[in-house]
Amino acid sequence: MDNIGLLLQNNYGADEPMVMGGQAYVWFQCGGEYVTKKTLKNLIIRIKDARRRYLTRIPVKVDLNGITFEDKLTIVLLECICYLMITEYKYPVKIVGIEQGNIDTEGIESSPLKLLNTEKDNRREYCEKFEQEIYGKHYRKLISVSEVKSGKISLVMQDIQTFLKHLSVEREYREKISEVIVELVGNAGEHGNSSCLIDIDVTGGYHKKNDSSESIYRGLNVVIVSFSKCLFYEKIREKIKSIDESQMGKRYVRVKKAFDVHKKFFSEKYTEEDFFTIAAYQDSISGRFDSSQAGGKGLTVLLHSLEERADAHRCYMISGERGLVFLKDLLDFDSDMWIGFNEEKSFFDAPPDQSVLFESDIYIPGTAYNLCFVMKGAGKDE
Amino acid sequence: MNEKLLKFDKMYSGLASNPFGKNTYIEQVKGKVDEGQKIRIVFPDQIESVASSFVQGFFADWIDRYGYGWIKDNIEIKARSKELEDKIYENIL
Repeated sequence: MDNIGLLLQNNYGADEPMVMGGQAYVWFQCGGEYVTKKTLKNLIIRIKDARRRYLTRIPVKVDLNGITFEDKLTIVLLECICYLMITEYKYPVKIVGIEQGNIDTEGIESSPLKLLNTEKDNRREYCEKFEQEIYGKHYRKLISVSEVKSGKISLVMQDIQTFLKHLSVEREYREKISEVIVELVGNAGEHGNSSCLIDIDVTGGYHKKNDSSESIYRGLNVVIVSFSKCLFYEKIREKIKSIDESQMGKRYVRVKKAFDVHKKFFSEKYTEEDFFTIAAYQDSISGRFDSSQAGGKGLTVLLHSLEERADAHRCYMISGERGLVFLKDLLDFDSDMWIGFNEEKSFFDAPPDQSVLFESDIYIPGTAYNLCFVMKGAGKDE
Repeated sequence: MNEKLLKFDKMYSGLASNPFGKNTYIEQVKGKVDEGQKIRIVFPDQIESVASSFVQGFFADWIDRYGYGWIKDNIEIKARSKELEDKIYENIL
């Protein structure tokens, strides 16, 4: 996976005391209510410390301690750390104490992490499963940058449609989902010039506690990760700041004017990076330099098309140290298809709602998405 | 009216990617149609879905040179269903 080493390079902090297993291995035990991105950052710090201290490749053992992951992206990021340790640093890695997930994290059942939970050396099998698996309710594919930029990504869209068809997801919904995924992959991979990992799992049927209709709900968890030195907002920021207004399309000129207005809103909680992230999600706006007139279909438009069909969702993206939540109630557009991510529905005159912005506990070099939809009554129960 | 039937490998039933759309336009359409007349772009029946990135890449040159209005007045889309034709139009305009 391209640029995966950036994940370790860009996360650092004060070294915590090393916990050694009789000098034979590095031992990292998870605590707290959930395994979070903060947990993973601490793990990275521990691994970097071990690499500094010891010339030999002592095994790394991670005890998840039966604790549930906070979401699917956190599972996939741990998989990425293990993949990096195995493929690039050639370390033995062992993961123990894996707990069964919930509707958001049931994908742990199909995670390659389980292959690191045995005495057998499964590193080769781990890497194969990390890079590709289409089995049962799990779809996983690592897509190269050449595939992202070529027509091959069309075949990924078809694959996803077929995968969802086998799980009895309705045609209209599976077409929308597959399009959203390949567009996000295309955007992340093409702009970051890097490979892209897609992971999709569809959970079994669940009942809601307060729903007397006995409807069955299924979770659709999608993670997209692309590591790159180029963060999500950088190209549109460069384009807006460097191109003369006379050479820009009308919508780009309006983004530039909005930037001038928003400067007065910038603070620790709402940064210039946040502004350009939101700008990149606008309809007909693209960071590509080859055309200043034709922008892409707004990624938010695509996400909006999905949430209309979902019962609830927990969707967000992270790039660098900043995150943006696609909060269902704040995904409305004004009459000219601008989105402000605020109650005012204004991109131009009001800052985004504080609830959609956050500082990530882990630095993501590139772009990562966690998309979780709960679909009511979709598909057959088993 | 000049007509251009697009051709794709048989393994494709869906189309995605802005660069793929752009290359398809360059290889199969650019300089091969009379822009002084109305143009009909025909997506073959094998194509069941077209992502917006492909559409944006395919039509970018015309959008840049002539604008959206020209496309609306001069380009006709033909695909396997009216639903797909409408979707392609929506993604251009």
